[in-house]
Amino acid sequence: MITLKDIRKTWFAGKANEVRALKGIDLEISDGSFTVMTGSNGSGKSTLLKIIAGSVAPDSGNVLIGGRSVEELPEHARSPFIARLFQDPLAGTAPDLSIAENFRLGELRGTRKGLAQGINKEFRTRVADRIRTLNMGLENKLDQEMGSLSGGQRQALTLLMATMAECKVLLMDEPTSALDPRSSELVMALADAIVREKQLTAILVTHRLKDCIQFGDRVIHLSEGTLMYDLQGDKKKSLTLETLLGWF
Amino acid sequence: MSFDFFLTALIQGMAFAGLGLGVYLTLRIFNIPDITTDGSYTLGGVVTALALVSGWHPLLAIVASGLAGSLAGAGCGLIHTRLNTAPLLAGILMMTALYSVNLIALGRPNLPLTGMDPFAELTGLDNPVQASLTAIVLLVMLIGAKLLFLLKTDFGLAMRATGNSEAMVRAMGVNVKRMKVIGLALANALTAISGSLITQYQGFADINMGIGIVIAGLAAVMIGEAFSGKNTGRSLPIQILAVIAGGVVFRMAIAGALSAGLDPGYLRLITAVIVLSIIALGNLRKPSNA
Repeated sequence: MITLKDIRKTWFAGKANEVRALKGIDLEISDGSFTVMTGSNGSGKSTLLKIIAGSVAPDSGNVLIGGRSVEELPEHARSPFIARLFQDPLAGTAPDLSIAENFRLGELRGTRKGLAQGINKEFRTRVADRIRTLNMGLENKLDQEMGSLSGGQRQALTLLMATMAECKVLLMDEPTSALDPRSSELVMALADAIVREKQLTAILVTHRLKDCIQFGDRVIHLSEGTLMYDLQGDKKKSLTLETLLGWF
Repeated sequence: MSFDFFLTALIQGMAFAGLGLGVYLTLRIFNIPDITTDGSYTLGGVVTALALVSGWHPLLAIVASGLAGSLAGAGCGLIHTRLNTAPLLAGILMMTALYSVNLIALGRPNLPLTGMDPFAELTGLDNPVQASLTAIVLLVMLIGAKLLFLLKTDFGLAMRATGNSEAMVRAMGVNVKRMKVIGLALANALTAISGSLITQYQGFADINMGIGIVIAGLAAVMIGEAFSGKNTGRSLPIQILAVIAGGVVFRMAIAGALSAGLDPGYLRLITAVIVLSIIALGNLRKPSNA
């Protein structure tokens, strides 16, 4: 369970360009649910996701994950239970490291990185088996540098990497906005499959209205730093594109 | 160039390996420009001279200088990460402070190691040139192998990813600030070991021995890259060997210029021109982004 209590955040406080990004958000997200978050540019949805991830600290309010208060924990200390997929396909992987090396770091997410050399035969077979499920032919290119792959390939691999280690929460910030339509479909389908298979608590921030209809079992809409709409269950299932458009 | 001249340049070049690898670590692995180097190189020399004069074993002197260098590097790292100063400024501050530390520790501007031959003591060889060459080559091989091992470990992967994609390593649970402090400590330990080896080789420590030395480390890294090709999927062993070879080529070029009758006053100018030419060659080869 992720619980947000009266989350407030103001950027550039006291300056001419002050932005009140979040004006008191209260939200409860149950375990194993898939929430899609929408809103116009500047509505505060990315800020909210970053506050849950720990890369941004709220001005006030509480963030509880699994009953534990985490708003004081920096991002790296939350990594044992949170996996992330970024908007920029380049941000989720290290370009100069090979696919195998990136996956090794993925497997070690949230644990100590010690002085052992963990990339052995058994590890390579395990990674290759996982990568084979993508049907991208990358399972034979484990030693290729991540930077030489396309954005779609990197985003798909980042998703797999993110779930190499045990995680409970998957945060996705517009993961397909830099991808072509085919790669977008592929990455979203993969994300949905992984969320269901591993029963993750997932939050997806997106501008693609089609994704709001197609994915998730709850949709929330932010507007100017407040929670405007929140649909679950049958109401979410019967959500139409027209209704959604009306929110903006 | 006479053979002796060539040999001297080879020994000095090999002794620069730690310096080159230190700059390689900060600049290429961590993507941080660090110029604590000038201070930590001298610090290595100072600690070594004091240790040897007090009768320490040369190996112990090398270890002590490495430890001293790592403290200097960690200091720079803490200034950079905890006080949010730019890494260049943190380096300048550390380097400036170290000048006084070195001078006070040494007690005078220059401390000769009269009547001592630490490399002969280390290797048991009588011929001073043979002894220096053997000791330095063995030590550099050991350092290179250790560094290669480290970079391939899980910890090393996290180190390499830190300079490569900070958002990613943070999400992977790496404490980036701590990692940078460790990286700068390691780099300056390597640099200090270079200072130690040079001090033992030349037979004295001098308060000014490190001034401008960071350029020699840069030259080693860049010459190595110029020969082995940058960013073309070079394996780690090749990258490390290239830095070591780069340091030797750099010393050879300097020795060559001097033996051709160049006024030593021009040395720094020539060094700057060498480094600039390598950067220019690399940049002119690829199409401009403008």
